[in-house]
Amino acid sequence: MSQDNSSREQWGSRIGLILAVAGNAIGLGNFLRFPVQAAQNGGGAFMIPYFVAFLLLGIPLMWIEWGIGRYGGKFKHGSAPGMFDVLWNHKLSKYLGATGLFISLTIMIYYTYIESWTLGYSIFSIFKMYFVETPNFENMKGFLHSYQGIQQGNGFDSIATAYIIMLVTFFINFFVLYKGISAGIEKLAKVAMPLLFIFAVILVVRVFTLGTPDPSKPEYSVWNGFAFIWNPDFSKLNDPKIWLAAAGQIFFTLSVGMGTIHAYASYLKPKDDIALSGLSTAATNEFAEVVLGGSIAIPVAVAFFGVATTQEVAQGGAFNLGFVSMPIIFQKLPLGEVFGFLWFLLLFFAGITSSVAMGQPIIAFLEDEFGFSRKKATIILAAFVLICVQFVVFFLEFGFLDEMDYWAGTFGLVVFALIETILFMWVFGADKAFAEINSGGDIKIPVIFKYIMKYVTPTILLIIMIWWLINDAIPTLMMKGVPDEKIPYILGARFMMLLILGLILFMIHLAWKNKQISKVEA
Amino acid sequence: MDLTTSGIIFWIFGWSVVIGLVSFCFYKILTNKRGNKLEKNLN
Repeated sequence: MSQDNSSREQWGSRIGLILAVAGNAIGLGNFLRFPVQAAQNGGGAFMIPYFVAFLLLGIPLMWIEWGIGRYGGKFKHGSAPGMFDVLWNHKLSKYLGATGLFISLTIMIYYTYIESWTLGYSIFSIFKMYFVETPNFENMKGFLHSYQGIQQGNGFDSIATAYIIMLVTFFINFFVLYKGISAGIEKLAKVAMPLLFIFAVILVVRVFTLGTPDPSKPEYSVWNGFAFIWNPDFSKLNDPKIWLAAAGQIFFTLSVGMGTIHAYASYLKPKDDIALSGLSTAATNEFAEVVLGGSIAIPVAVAFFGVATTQEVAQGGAFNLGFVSMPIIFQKLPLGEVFGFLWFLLLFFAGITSSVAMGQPIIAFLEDEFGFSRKKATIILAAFVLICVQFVVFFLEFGFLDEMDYWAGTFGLVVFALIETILFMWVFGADKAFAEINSGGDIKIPVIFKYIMKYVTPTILLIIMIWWLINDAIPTLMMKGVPDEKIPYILGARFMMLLILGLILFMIHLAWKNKQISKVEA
Repeated sequence: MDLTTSGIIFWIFGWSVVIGLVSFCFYKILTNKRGNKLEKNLN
């Protein structure tokens, strides 16, 4: 097998690479999921299990994925099947890599649609399209549902606007992917990431200067919002659910277990640093989450709605907070249309830098294993995603998206992370793996991390997987509490996911069969 | 719900860990011989 990676695309600069991988990690969850998790799980005390999970799960997985990616790149493999094949010389190994392609592709199908809502809402903000005389949860939910085509008359008469904005978002995504690693993904990250940070800082400054918006309700203040997030409730630390929630949050926020970091790292040269770059991307993501993400949505919600209502909003989920509560707040703020525009555009930048990363593993798979040009690979991916997303758009109200999100975007991640950790640290070998991660490094990783990666990280992953299997996966699989009218759509979503997985497995089989034929002919 | 002293301590703790880590990483990158370049100069 070849170890000459020079014919493949390369990253242009180190900062560009770090911004691209950080962009992959920084998503909607940094600004919507983290503050909700912190407030619900012990406030300031949540930071103890959160940082423990960051140290024992997040950073080790980051290094493992960078390590597997760069190592696979040496053999001209930019996706999990080829990478696993060089880690473990066994005929099954490449098929295990199908998980990585399945997860990134499936998430991309629905994530890009959600991302298009943020683009839409940034336009609606600047043109005050959701602004009404008496903004409340009822009419803002109505506006969102009419935009999504779930109900009519609260702003939109059909789904046409959402569909057009989705097509625009798709076009931007696939244009960036078509342009390639350096000219597309890296350029996007170099523009979108600084803008994201600038917008976030502007919003944080506005939140800090908000004080008590309604003097007749002194308890509705930004400082009480920060108290809601940071006041510690130590009694919660005895609850194992809090520790699992923290581990889950670290897992989601760093975008590990998706196959995307591997794809990006495969375009590095063998002597490029990954130890410091991997740590830097994790740190940048944490800055966006803890410092910026924790200082916008929840504090401002407490300032306008009070703690009790904010708790209800938080329990309603991230979309409720982002697309229903925040638009109400922007209508009550002076220059709210501008802050709304910045907020939703910030979320769009966070989304697009993640969604292009989800497209890259499949493109790399088609390029590296089938010899397709980037243009051909991009067109195939775009056509496939566009066909699949129709079901997500039109069956949204029937739980099609939620079903895909659970199996690929939640449970699948931990399965893939466990597979890759075992393959790299146990099958490939902890000594070789640790030497590979440290090779060319600008910092020396403490040797204790070798043991953490070998023993602690997979144990935590196994615990999370078993916990989720018992508490969520089995009830979800049995469709517990699902209304009868939704069942055909849920089954449809499962059928589509099985079809995607089957297609990927078949293509892996085909690619390796073709390679064998080429070898014999040569 | 007022911001308590322990709340402020955890707030400072959370921000310090993250800002400290980011500062360390980018200090290392910017002061490294390799700087913003990717491949190590082996000469």
